[in-house]
Amino acid sequence: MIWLVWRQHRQQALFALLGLAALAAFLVPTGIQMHDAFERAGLPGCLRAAASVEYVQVVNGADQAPDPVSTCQDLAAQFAGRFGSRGAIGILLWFLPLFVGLFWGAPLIARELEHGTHRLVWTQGVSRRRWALASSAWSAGAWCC
Amino acid sequence: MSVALEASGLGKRYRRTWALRDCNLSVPRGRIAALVGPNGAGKTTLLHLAVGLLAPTSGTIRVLDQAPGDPALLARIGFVAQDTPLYRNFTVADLLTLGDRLNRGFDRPMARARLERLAIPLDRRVGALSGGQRAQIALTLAVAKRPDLLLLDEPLASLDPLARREFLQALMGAVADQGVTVVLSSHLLADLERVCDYLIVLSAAHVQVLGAVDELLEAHKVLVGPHRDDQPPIAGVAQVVRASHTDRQATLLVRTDGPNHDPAWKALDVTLEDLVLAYLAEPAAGTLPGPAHDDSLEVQA
Repeated sequence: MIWLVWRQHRQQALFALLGLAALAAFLVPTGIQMHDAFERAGLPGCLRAAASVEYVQVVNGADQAPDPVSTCQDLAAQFAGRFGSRGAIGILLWFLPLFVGLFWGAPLIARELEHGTHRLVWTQGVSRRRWALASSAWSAGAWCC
Repeated sequence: MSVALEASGLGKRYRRTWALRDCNLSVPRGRIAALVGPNGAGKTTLLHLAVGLLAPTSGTIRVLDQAPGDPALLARIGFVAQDTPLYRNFTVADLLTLGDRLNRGFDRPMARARLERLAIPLDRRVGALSGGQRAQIALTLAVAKRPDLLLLDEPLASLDPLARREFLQALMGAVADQGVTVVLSSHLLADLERVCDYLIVLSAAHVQVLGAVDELLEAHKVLVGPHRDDQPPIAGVAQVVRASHTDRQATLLVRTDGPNHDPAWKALDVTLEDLVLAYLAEPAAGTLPGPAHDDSLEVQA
């Protein structure tokens, strides 16, 4: 049964793996680059300082000392300006589960019915429950990975 | 003799229409039964009920003395569905693996040898093969389960005459080798006559004719004689199934219950095709085994 499910879906699995690899090839260097830029701009320290600034201080000494909050805001704006567009990729990731369900989950049974092959596979010496279990376990497993 | 397929009061309803209603039949083991009837008569429904793809709305069906649907039972049934569905992106060898993995007792060497004999390449994708080859593969998968019962739903429909003959020969070979019971639905009466020794005629969701082919052929005759408007009963005729006539001559297809000594009528043997067509043309006529014939079903000429 597991063999059958693998044989039926191995092409799909291959494409999914390729897709994930392509996504990783893009996301991992971007992530490293973002991390480096974040460090180099001194944003970690600046943000920590900004977090410790109290509201009273800001109001009183706004003109004298360099304002940690506004400098930090500038740095953050620069950072966001450089990488913000890539944040759109994140939105794509939100919809990934939807796509998995749409393109993998739905056709599990629908395609069998469309091609009439349920009449082949459901009349072998394996119960339909086991077939359903193996098929959905595959999809669920692939999604978890 | 034990029974391979038995239905009593069997009915299946799809929403408001009955695809099969109050259907009683039994097929003894070791027979090759032809399941015939017009489109929509319930042939596919009956086979799907037998194999557990459908559940009956009413009545019961028993297959090899068990209720259908159990995987252990399914391993003993070879089923070839209509249009012989196969995974088209699988290679032929993949399908053999499928059969092997999904059925205990799958005879892979036999399946392999059969396909080699039919010159079907094992490394080819199923989608690239002809309809006849696909039908042969589907039959091979079913036969290699070494089933006790083969249920075939119009396996001949997609085949050319030569492939049809080869298919039936292969089927006969498998039956002779394994002593399997076959129920085969088809429209091709002439082909069925060569191989089948049992007949089930379904018409409008009912079983119309049921019985052994040789007994049915023996019990039916075509009578040719003078045409009269007030035809008195003819000796030895239990029922006139179908009558046609010209001005002077009448041709009757009759079910007999004794020898016909009336010299005015010439008796001819019937073919299975004539018999089935006569019954299908007269849905009210019917013949079922057993002594009790419902008189209301009888048609008077």
